[in-house]
Amino acid sequence: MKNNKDFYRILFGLILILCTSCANLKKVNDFSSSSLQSIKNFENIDYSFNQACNDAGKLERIRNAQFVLDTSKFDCGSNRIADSITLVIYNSIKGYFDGLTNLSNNDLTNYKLDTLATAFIKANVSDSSASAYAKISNILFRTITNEYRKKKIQQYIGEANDAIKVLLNNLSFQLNQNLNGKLKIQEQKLTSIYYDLFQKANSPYEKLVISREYDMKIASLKNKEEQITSFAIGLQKISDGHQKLYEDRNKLTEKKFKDLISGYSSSIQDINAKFNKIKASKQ
Amino acid sequence: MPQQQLTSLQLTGLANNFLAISQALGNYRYSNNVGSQITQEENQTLGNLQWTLLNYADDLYTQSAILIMDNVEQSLATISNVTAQIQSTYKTLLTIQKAINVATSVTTLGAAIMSKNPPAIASAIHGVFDTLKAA
Repeated sequence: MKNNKDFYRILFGLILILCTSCANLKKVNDFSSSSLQSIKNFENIDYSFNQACNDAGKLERIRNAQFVLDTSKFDCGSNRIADSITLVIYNSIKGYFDGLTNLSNNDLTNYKLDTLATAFIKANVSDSSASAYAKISNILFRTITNEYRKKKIQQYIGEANDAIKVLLNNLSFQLNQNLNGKLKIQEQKLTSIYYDLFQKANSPYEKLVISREYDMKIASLKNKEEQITSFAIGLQKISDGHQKLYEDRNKLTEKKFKDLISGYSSSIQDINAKFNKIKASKQ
Repeated sequence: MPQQQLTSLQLTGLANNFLAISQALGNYRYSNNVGSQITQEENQTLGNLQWTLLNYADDLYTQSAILIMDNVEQSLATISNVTAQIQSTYKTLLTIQKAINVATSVTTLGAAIMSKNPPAIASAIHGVFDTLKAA
């Protein structure tokens, strides 16, 4: 009888530890998975340095009234290099958050021991004992592996914090400043070309057509700019969230930490939704 | 004195300045009527100047985008190392399930041998092979 009581006490203790570790790892998982989802929006951005260069070439042709662009004076090689550098940064960030998401996923340590219980039964261990062994083993396994995961995640967040912030901030700068800068250049070039066309138009109808076409092209560029800006805001939020994760990494059991990280996760999800809305408004 | 290379941040700052100047030039051109306030020739010159400034800015943004590699090189190496560690831990935890599966199939085989039941032994052996193949 006493043995039974002790057994249940230990089991209860283990379940308590298990619940706390699972809940906090879940918050890390929520943050890293919403970050990952937001980061992957990079693949949905309708623009690149190479595309900006090709578009600049088309404008050059129009301005110089050339049917075919003189490619000897127009080379997009540097822009392609810029794209590959951007891609390297993106892939590195994505790989890290992908790993963090997988490692903090509670399903990872949800080991299936039912088949082992069945095997025990076949090996002449009684049904009830086999099932009890399986349950206790499961709790023990999960408690130990969750504590192990928590410790490892704390360590990795600590090691990665400075570097991941540098990468997130530079990717944000690359897109929000450099690529958006190129979009602003295109806006100015388009305005210049369409202004001259408008001046030379022979009729009010021609002016109307020119104005309409100009407005459409500018709206398309603005949409791309908004996509990039929204994506860059998301990166900044992820960087701030990771910093908080780093600062409170040793408090992975506190409620305050859970609330704080939940706040960052939902902000990132909001930005993600905004990005999709901007992209959808283009179609 | 050694020559110092401009940083990515400085190049983008320069490009932003060029962009602002060309915008001002453009605004001046668009707000002055050709023929009355400015001549056709002046309009053409202003347009050419604006275009040239925009091309400079474009080139500066590209150079900045390439030079960003200097800012991130070290961080890329750090994250690559941490990501490799994360993947290794992840694989280790996945392996535990595989070990359980192997233990299960071996226990089943043991039970089958104890029962001296040839079809059950054959099936259990098959099970061990399958598990090991999947592991």
